[in-house]
Amino acid sequence: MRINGLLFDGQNSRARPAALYRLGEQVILEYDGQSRTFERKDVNVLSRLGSAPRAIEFPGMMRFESSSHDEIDQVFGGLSSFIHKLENNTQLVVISVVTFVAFCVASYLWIIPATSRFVVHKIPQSYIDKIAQKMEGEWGLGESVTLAAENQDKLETITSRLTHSFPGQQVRIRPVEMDGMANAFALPDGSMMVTQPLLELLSTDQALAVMMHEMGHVTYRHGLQAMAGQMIISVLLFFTVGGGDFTAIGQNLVGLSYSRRHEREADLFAAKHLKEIGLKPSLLADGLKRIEKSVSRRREGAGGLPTFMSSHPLTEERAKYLKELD
Amino acid sequence: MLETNTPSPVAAQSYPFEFRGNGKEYFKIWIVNVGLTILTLGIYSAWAKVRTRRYFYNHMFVNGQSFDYHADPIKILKGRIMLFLIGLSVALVNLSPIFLIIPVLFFLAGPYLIVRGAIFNFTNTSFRGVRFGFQRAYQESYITWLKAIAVTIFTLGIGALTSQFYWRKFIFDHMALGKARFKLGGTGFEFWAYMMKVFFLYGLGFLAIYLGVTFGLFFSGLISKEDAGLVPFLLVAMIYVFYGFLFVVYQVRTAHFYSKHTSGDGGLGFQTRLTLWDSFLMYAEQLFLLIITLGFAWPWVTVAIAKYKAEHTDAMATPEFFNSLEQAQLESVSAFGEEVASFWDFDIGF
Repeated sequence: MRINGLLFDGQNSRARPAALYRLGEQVILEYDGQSRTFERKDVNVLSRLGSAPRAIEFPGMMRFESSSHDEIDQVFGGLSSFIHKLENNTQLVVISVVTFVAFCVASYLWIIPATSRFVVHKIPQSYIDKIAQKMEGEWGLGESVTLAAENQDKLETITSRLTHSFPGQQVRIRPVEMDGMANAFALPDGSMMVTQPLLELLSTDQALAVMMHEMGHVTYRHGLQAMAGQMIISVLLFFTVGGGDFTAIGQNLVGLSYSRRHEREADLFAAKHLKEIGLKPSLLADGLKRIEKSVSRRREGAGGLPTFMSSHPLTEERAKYLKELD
Repeated sequence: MLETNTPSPVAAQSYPFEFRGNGKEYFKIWIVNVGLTILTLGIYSAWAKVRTRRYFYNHMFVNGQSFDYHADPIKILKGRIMLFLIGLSVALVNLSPIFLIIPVLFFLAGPYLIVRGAIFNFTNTSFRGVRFGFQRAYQESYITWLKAIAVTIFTLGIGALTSQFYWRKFIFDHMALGKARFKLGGTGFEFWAYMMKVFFLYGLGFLAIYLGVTFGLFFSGLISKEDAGLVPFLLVAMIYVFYGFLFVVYQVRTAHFYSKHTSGDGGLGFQTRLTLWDSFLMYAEQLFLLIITLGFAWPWVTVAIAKYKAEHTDAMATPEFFNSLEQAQLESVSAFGEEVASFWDFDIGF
């Protein structure tokens, strides 16, 4: 069987009409009125790819191109198009789709969370301290602020009660200033930050509940988990779709979803430990509501974001499940 | 007496690019790639990369012939493993600060790796049986690197965009198709001014629209004080749209600037017919598709974008150009530079 196509001789880009056929282990190529014989093993038949013309490569960078796919398969056997067969096997494509969907779901639900949970407990403390220092610098947290006497008392009470609840764990709370906002958060190294307005705004029990929530972040190493998770997602995306401009959006949305999950975990952690010392989990809800109200008064409301775009679950939702735990 | 015996140059004609792939076909290739990559714990990803590139190159036609990609997957796999090991070795820094030398060396090797990556990429790309190529311009690569850093630092970041031009110029000026050379004209400042002009105007426009909308809503009473929480949401939503808009502006404007300033042997040049609004609609449509299919439209989207870009781009060349390209000496390098560059998202290509 003759296969017609074009030949590029590897010296220049001129296309010559050509034909080839096979005689046992020999491949005969005809072009420009001449006929050349090659060993089958020296001829590289590229696998079929979509509907593009297919190349057959000869020594000396000679390249024969033809769109007669079926003829090429017949002459050279189907081996060269094994992957192409996979691609055209409906069953296998369906299996691949299912594998991929299962992989995505498993990654989202288990692989990424489990891997990041595993990784964060392997990170040496010295490295975590370095990250925390860097974050403190980036956020401009600066020196500890001097608290008014009654707030200082509150903070000391909270610290001693937390120490009592978590024996063997070092409780480090540092009062800092953040644009005059009521806020508290945990750094990866396990230290926690609280602002003066928060201590002023909340009762001692409410503030204790909020710090219990932060203790949850510290215990589960949520900050580090989030960082590890983002790295894992990057690597997975790099291998599946090769990165790109659109993937960043998906990556952010997944990151936010993990963040909401972490908040819920920390809420439940706080609820559990509040109950242990005879306090109601709804204290946390009361504290969160107050903080939200004061922040939204200053910023004209940050509660307008839809859930899938925000880092925290809606405060009403959090209040609801915390009340149920009372 | 008039001398008329100078040979009149043959006018360059325009040859439209044409992408003949289709979403369904690419979907099957992509999903098999992804499936095999997962099943082989990532090893197949090197083969997947070659197959993907080959799909896009093989289906990209100009004047009746398409491109091809010849990289050896084994080389890419080796490059990936090496990159992975270096990534892991960064963790050694915790053992002793001495290991800081690894990321530092890696950083310093950047321009060298970019050249290696470019050589790998270009020599493995062909058109009409003739390979592209890239010079071993290590020195120029370091100079470009220093220029890119300097222009960012000394302008306090305002001139950072210029570095994009420097790198693009570096790539174009040192690449070749067979023995045919390319050249990117224009200056960094021209590029910067060309881009910043529109960024500035659109930035002002965005601000005006945002203020107009929010104040308009307030004064018209459509938003009461209690609903003020909606305002930040509106801002975030508008910033997202604006960010997307700037992305398209960047794509379209750079395409126009580069095609206007690119030339090559044999009367080679490029022409783009991309327009801002039409491109914006195209990207918006594709993004919408991605969102409603939770990302599964990816193969269709990638193909649609490639098709759209090809349809709006012409190569300018004399008719002889296509038959007169000559093969040049080939170089062989490892794929490590290419892997590093693609991990850094450094675009070596067309």
